[in-house]
Amino acid sequence: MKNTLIKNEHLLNLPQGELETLRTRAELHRRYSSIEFKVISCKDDTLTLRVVQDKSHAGNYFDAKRLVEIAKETFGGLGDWKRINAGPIPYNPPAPDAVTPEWIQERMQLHGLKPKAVSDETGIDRNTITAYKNGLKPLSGVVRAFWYFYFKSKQA
Amino acid sequence: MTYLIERLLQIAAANPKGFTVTIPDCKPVRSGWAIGHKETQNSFGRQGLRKVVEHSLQTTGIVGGWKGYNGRYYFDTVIIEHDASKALDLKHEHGQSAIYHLDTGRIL
Repeated sequence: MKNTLIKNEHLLNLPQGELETLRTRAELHRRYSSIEFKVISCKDDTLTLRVVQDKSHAGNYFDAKRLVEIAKETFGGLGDWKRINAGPIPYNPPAPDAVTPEWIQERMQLHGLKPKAVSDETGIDRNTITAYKNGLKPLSGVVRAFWYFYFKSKQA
Repeated sequence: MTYLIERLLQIAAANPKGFTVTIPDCKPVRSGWAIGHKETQNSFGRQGLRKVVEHSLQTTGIVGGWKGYNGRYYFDTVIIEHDASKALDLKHEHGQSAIYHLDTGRIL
């Protein structure tokens, strides 16, 4: 199976023991923080990387400075490189990510909307509206987008 | 149990890189040192998840999942410890090569 844990891992030319150490670290970053790495080049004594954080289930987001530190900590102490250059790409959440049951409740209150009114307007069953509002039904990406743009339309 | 397993499989599908939740409420764990429990190592697939859920309900009440290096989706019981020194002890007790701090991204 092609390794996608560290893109371009083959450019590192690490001995097996160090490679396993690196993969363990990278796997933990991906698992707990949705952070992944791509090797851009490994020339002379300089390692150049890209470090990207995607949407994390734990919501533990790091800024560019910390992502650079994480990259250096992950690849540090391995290989022959003396210098690590890391280009960070922090997570940039889409606006609908802000939608939570509490967010829905606040906006329904702000607009004076009851579940029946939302149901009448959107065609979505009133019980379903209530379930989303009260956190009884999980908010998928599509459902968060619906709520976000529904209330955005009320602002227009 | 069946509902909980189906819910966790939904969470795994929605979070292919990984997740850590308390059970049975399935709320995300957001802080602390995460240590994998030695008794649930190498658990994968639906059967592996069932074993992990049964174990976790009796122990920490926290389940984690992640896509491994080989592309297979693994599950385990997770121990969360906020004291670094105690977390290090747990790391050795459970034979883990590394542990992760959710708040800072540090690895020990």
